[in-house]
Amino acid sequence: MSEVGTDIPKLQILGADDAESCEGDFCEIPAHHEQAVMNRRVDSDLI
Amino acid sequence: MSEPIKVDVWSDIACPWCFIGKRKFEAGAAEFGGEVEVEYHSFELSPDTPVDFDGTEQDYLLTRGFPADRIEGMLGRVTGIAESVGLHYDYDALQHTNTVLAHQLIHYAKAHGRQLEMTERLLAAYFEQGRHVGRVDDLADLAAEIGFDRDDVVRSLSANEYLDAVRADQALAVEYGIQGVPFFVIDGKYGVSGAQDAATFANVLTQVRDEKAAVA
Repeated sequence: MSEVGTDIPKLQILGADDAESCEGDFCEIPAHHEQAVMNRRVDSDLI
Repeated sequence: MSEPIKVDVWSDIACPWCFIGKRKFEAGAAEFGGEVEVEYHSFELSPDTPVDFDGTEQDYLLTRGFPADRIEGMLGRVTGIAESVGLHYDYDALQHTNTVLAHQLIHYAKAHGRQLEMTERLLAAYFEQGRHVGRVDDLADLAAEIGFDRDDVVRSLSANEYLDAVRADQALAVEYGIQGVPFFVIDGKYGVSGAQDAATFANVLTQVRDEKAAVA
């Protein structure tokens, strides 16, 4: 269990930490669905 | 009778896991069986996306540097997972676009007490029906299909009436430390990230209900 947030009540994070989600321009399928990348993050380091 | 459990959901229309996560959450809430109050909040994954992107989803992914030889397989896997929760993604028809106006439409619908219905309509339009969800006229058509006054929707979207509300949601996401979507804030104190299994949502909701009962 971890916490995030600063000025508002901190959240206790529950659930699996590898559930499918999208961050920025980047979505992924976690290992249990075969690791894959959907949208590559717009990141000059990667271009 | 106990109060409903509040669930705040940050999501984007152009987020394949948000629609899948919506279905999984709904299944978890049904398994939980108690009363749940859901409110959606705006999160733009790719605010620099043009409204009129000229190309397919595959073309879009290529512009983002995704290896061409992996795109079909990857979209196929996402489509398969969507099918597993009863969604029929159609990436050949999908029209990639900017979603800020769609978020404003969701706020418009919230102001009229129909946010969940509008959110569902937009996600289905985008992922299953190949409808454009980035232009005022197209969005107004979708809103009218579920009974909203089309002219009033055009007025609202043209005036960016709910842009401040979208930005407020995004600012709150930053305060919470939310970096990805879907993200569920349950009872203002628990965070659940991603398209979790239905059982996970059911367990968290049950935990919150039990905690509330213990202090009542």
